[in-house]
Amino acid sequence: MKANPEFISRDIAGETVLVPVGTAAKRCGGLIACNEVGSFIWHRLENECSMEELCNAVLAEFEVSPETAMADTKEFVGRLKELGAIIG
Amino acid sequence: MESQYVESRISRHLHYRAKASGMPLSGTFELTPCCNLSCKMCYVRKSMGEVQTEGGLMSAEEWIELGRKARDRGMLYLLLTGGEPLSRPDFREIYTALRRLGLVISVNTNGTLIDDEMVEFFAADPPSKINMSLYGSSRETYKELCGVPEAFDRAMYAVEKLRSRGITVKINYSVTRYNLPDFDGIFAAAEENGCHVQLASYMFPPLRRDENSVGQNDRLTPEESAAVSLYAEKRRMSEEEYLERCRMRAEKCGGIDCDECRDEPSEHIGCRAGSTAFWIDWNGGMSACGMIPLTAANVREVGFDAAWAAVRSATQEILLPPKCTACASRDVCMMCAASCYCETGSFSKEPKYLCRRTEELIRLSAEEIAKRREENESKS
Repeated sequence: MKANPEFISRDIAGETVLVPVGTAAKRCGGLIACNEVGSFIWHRLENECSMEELCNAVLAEFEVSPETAMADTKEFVGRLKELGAIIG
Repeated sequence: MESQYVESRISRHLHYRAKASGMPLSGTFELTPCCNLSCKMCYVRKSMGEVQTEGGLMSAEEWIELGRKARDRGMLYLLLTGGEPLSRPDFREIYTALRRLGLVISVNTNGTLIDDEMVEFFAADPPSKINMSLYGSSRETYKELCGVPEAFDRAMYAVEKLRSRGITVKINYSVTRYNLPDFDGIFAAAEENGCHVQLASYMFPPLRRDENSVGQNDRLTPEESAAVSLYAEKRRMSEEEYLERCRMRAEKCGGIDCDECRDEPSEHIGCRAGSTAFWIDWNGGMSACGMIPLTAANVREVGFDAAWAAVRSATQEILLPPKCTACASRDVCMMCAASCYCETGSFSKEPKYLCRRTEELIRLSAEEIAKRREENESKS
């Protein structure tokens, strides 16, 4: 899976927001605001990445248990998929 | 119908963060002062001949490059306005390129140039919203106010088509003597199409069009403006919301009717103008607000960064009238730097038109509260 290039990542005033453009804007009407972990995951997804690779990357970057890393990453990725921000 | 247009939490949060760092988060690009209508109250309209004499329009490439520079400095929200922005043959090229920069774009338009093809263009990459000016609810009013009767049919067609494609449309209704009788018709048309109405019952004197118009405009009296504003609230708010705003105004502790402009009370400019927001006119002049006819610098001459620095610096020097900042009715009044300047020719003099308008708003609000109290007492 990877980030839908029709979502443009903007780092503004210390926050990361995803701006949908084109057909993505039809499906997802607003902005997506990411926290620090969300931003990390999004930038990882700019290159093709499996769920396992993503969870391992989160685990290596943040001080969380493997269970938390797995659960939070899956939840975030699931939400992004619903909004069309992740393809594949 | 949406009961109110509410700014998103993320927008408020980003503006708060941007203010601390002096980031130009919100911009307005006035793509042209030209328009296919000739509205009596317009503050900007020019003919293409006048535009050519004054240096010509900025090209699509210039606007796109400007968008890129502003984006690199943090601009996220962009309003494209005019004149009539869609009257530019290269509007689509500009819009598409700016969207691809990752900008959240809204568009001001009179809607009369939006045909089926333009609806499909917007539907393919929707703006966050289209702010459509509706000048009346009949051909007669359009003829009287804008000089083009059939513009009414075209505007209504655009509203219906855009809404049918799921595009958010906000109706801007500038109330004048000429279209006051259309009030209910405009609200009904908006409701039918699921659109919020943003009502402007206060008209700034059009200083940008005529520098001798300080304090002058072909507009409602302050008292009429207050009554219209209250009537609009009554029409679109729940009974509870309406009475709460009346109570706040009667007690002079809030209920301002342009609260999207007001961030915090201060002797300095209280809104986002010149703090996180800027306006670039059709000729490249950058100012804090499009209603203030003072350009801090021209982006064509000094570039975006120097122009933004000049706007920030000029804004910080503005002090609002002491009488206004100390006024007990301040939380009810829509006084701002632009209205002071347009009403008096100075930032430091109180805009008497708005003093009268505010007094009337407070009086009418108190009257409403008293009336409800009497009704409740007679029931019990």
